[in-house]
This record gives sequence, structure tokens and C-alpha cells, in this order.
Amino acid sequence: MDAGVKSRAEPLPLTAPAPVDGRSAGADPDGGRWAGMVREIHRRHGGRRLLVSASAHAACAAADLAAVEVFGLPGAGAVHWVSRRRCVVTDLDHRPATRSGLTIVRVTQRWPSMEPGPAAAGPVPPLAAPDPRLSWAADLCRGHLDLVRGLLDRAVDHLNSRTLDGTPLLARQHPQALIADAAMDLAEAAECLAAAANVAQVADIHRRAVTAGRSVIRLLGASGFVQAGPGGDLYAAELTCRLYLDAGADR
Amino acid sequence: MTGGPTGVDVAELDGRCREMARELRAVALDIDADPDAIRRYLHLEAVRMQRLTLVPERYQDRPLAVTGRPYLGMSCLERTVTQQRLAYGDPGTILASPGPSLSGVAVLTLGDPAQQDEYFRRLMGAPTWTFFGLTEPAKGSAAMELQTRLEPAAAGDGWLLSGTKRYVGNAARAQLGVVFARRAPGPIGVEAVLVDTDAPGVTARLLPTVGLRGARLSEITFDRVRIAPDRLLGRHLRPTRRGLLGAVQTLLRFRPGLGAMGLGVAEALCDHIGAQRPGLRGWPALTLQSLRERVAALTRMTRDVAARVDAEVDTGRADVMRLTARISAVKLRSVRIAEEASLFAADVLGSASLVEDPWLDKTFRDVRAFEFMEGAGVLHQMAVFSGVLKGQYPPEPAGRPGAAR
Repeated sequence: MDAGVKSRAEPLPLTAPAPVDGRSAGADPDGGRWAGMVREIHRRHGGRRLLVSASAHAACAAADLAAVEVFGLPGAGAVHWVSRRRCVVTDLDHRPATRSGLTIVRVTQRWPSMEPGPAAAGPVPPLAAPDPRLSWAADLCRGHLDLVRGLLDRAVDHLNSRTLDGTPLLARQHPQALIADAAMDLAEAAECLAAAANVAQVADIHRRAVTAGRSVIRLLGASGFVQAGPGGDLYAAELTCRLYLDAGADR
Repeated sequence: MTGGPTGVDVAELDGRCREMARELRAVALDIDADPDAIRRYLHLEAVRMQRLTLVPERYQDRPLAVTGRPYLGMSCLERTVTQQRLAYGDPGTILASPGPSLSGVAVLTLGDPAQQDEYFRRLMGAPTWTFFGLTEPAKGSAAMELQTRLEPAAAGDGWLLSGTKRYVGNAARAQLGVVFARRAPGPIGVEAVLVDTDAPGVTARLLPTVGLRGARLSEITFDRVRIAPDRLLGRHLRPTRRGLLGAVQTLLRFRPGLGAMGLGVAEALCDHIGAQRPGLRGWPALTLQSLRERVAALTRMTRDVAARVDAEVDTGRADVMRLTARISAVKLRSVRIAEEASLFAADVLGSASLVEDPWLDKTFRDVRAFEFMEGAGVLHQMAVFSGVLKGQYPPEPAGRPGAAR
């Protein structure tokens, strides 16, 4: 990547982020939390950089989009850092993601000569981890687990406020067992994530995080399906993490 | 396959609905983008079917005919077949369609002849959307817990309805619906009333949701809405036979159909994977085959339960309570397999599939809704557990009648 690309970069040809709808109807103070977490993960990884998944798609918090610098991973295997000047970034106008405060972009190479090599690949930017893909993937997966952990706390409150035959649902053994199972799933996934040595392992942990998240969101009933709330966040997190972590496309 | 309770051939109905599903698939993304676009698709046969389902034949000028017999959708089995096959096309469009739906079952179950006459004539006069107001913000769909109040009007003529219902399909677009409210403490203190949404004191708004936007989940609030005495459903019945019992029996009769929608979507996902990845091998191929076999098994189980519900109704007792565990089990397993199929599809079709494949993305979002519709999953699990304790579940294996548990 050319030095100083960031300062010379022309504005990305992207539309302005759409307002997050649903804020006034059924608004939820926890809604849009995932977009904030994505923004923080970007910041932690050297600022407004956007790593592109092997399928050349990326997700980021909408508010940061105009300033991000794109790095690409054109294929599985070796890391390729591609200057944004050599790429075209297209806002896919993916409405469900936009409603959660995210923008999904497609990144394509501007010139056919953009094969990996000295002419195309610049110096690897200074990131903390030896394999930036692993660090990035682990942070996204950790964010997903944190989100589900928050949902679990919320589900406990929710079940405690709901009664059946005069008894709070939380006092019944079955919901208690579901809560316990989800909590154990989360603890185990977090432990595995701490020891993950490659992106494939992180992807596997993420699949378990998705399963745990679905188990927990069910406990919230219909309130977990409202866009401006935990349901919208969970969808956005699943979408984001699938773009980066899901090994399915590479099978 | 044997004929349904009203004489419609079930196999013929199944095939006919498979055809109708194609036209639903063609409009699915439009409805997801703008559920109010349903007004542009009222001419579709599947939409018309929703409008006519549960409407007695005497109110229909031009019923849908299946093998020469009018399709009325009065039986649980018929509705289970149609909902499954049409959901293969698009569940959102089904739910966005005008028609009696759940409120129609309540009116048929509880309404006296005059109430049914007014209700169905109105629905046949123009495309009319209805709602079923049971679920409340703090109480969910637990009918015993509801807080919406029905108080005597000051003049002693009728009632005043106050309270809020949330997560109610179509309420913000409906013209009328059935609302469950508490008149007095205890199980016989719950009543069902017919409410016009243009009545003074009624306000409603859409709740933006993650998916299944055609359902148009809404919140509807009643602020001292006047309810005339003739709007009390089941006024000719004893209190023990109306209100709460009506709510419970309505839901029980509708649940197999809701589960069947999950099965329709699960089958659609399997076919989608097969079309996108024709050369699938290894564990994905085995998983896909397993999903298909389980969908087929659940289809048989759901239709069996639906037929048993109809048999109860035919006896005149209409006591479907003893089928609760089996109904809950097929509903829950059917909606869960739809969610499982959606996750599997996203795994197999790749990391960008949710971005590049709008139908998959829509379906991936839609299937989560089935979990809480017609009762949240955790309540169904408890119903199944209760059935196990009572020896009602699991059912006796086929071919072993009378086998001891």
C-alpha cells in the first residue's frame, strides 16, 4: 500500500447512511448496540480500516464509512493488502443492515493487474497481532459473545417479569435450565476463543455463538423480533460475522 | 390421501396450493420491502384464498373450487395443508393478506348468528384486514394474565375497553378485530369483543421488525373505547364457554397451521440449497437429506394432529385441550426446523450469501418470527413437559395401539 494513501484518498462514492428507522416506534435503549461495537472494533484495529472478507464484502458502522480505508483479502490463504485507490467500493444498499446502523459494501479491484505481488501489495500495516485476520476475527466473535451475554441478562429480567399461573417464568425449572444452558454455552465459547489459533477455529466458535444467541433471543419472545432492539442487533451481528468468519464460501 | 372434513380432496388441495405458491414467491421481496404493497396483489389466487378462508359458504358469491367442491378452510387439516404449501411461496404475503384469519376462528367459535352475519358480510363487502388482540406488552399471550379492562359504561349500556395489545399482526392496518379483555377477576372474567379500529379511542402503530414484515406486527391501544352490548362475542353462551376458552381453543386450532408454515419455509430452503448447490457432497449433502426427511416426518405428524383436532370438533365437544402437548410439539419442532434450515443454508451457500441472495436474506430473517407466533417456544416446551407428566406425550407409536407406557 502506498504511504500516505489515507491523506490523499478521494471520498468514497457512497450514499449517506440512511437513518435507523424504528427509533421512534418501539424504540429500545439497547438497539443499535452492535453498530457501536463494530465501530469500536475498527478503532481498535488501527482506526478507520476495513478488512474485506475473502468474498470481497465488508460491513462497517455507517457513520464511519466515509472515512474508512479499505484493505482487501482477495483470496483465501495469504493476506493481501490492497490500496483503496485500486479498489471500487460500492454501497450495496442492504436495507436490513442499514436499519441496524451498518453498511454492507462490495469491494472490487479497479485494475486487472491487481494480482498479489510487489506492484499491488504494499507494506502490511502495523497491527498488533501477527495474523491480523485472526485478531480481527477474534474481536468480532468476542463482540458477538458479548452481545449474547447482554441478551442473557435481559432475558433473565424478562422472564422474571412474566408470570404464568401467578408464578414468574424465571421461577420455573425449565426456563432456568434454558438460561443455564445458554450461560454454559457462552462460557465455553469464550474459553475456546481465548485459545483459538486460526480463523477456522474462530469461525467454528462463532457458529456456536449464533446457536447460543438464537436460544437466548427465543426467551425474549416477540420483543426479540423488534428491529430497534436486541433482535435487530443480533441479526446485524450474525450478518457481520458471517461476512468475515463463515468458512462456508471457502468450502 | 383421504378427503378433508368438508369433502375437499386433501391431495388435490396440496397440489393446487403448490401451484399458487409460485405467484407468491414472485412478489415476496416486494412485500418484504413494503408490506402495504399487498393491495397491488389482491388479484392473486393465494391472496384470494386467504380472504375466503373461514368464511361460511352462504356468504361467498364465488368460492374457490377444489375438485368441484368449495374450499372454505373450515378444517384444521385443510388450513394446515394450505399454509404449508403457500408458505413455501412466501409466508409474509399470506400474513399480509386480508381475511378473517385468527379473528375468524374466534367469531365462528364464539359469535352468535347475528354477530357472525355482520362480521362475514363486512369481510365479503370489501377487502378487509382483521386482527386478533390477545398478546399484551407485559404479559405475552398468557390469556389468564391479561390486563386490558372491560368496564361497564356509565350509562349502563355496554362497556368501555381500555388497555394495550402488542405484537398483534396487521392491527395497524386492520378495519376490525377481536380483543380479549378482563371484565372480572378469575378465568371466567375474560371476554372477547369485536372492535372497529376507527372507533374513538383506538390508536395503532406498526412495530418495525427484523423480518416477516408482511405480518405487520403492531401495537394497538384502547382508551375507553365504547363497546356496544351486541359486540360481546358469545353473549348467548355461559361465561365458562366463552372468553378465555375461546382464546385458548382458537389458538389451539390455529397452531398446527402456523407450524406448517415453518415446514413450508424449511422445504423451500432445502430446495433453494439444492438448486444453488446441485453437486453438494459430504456432510452438507447428508445434512440436507436429513433435513428433508425430518420435514417430511413433521409434515405427517402435523397433519395427523390437525385431523385429530377436526375429529374433536366433529364430536361436538370441540375439546382440543387434551391434544395440547401434541399441538405444541409439532408447532415447536416445525418452526425450529425452519430456523435450522436457514442457518444451514447460510453456512452452505457461503459467507456473502445473505448479502447477495435477497430471498435467502429475507427468509433468514423471517423464520425467527415463527418461534413466538401462536405462543412462545418456552411455553410450548412446558406444555410438552406437562403432557409427558400426564402420559399424553409422546403419543403411542403407530402400529402399537393400546401399548402400555
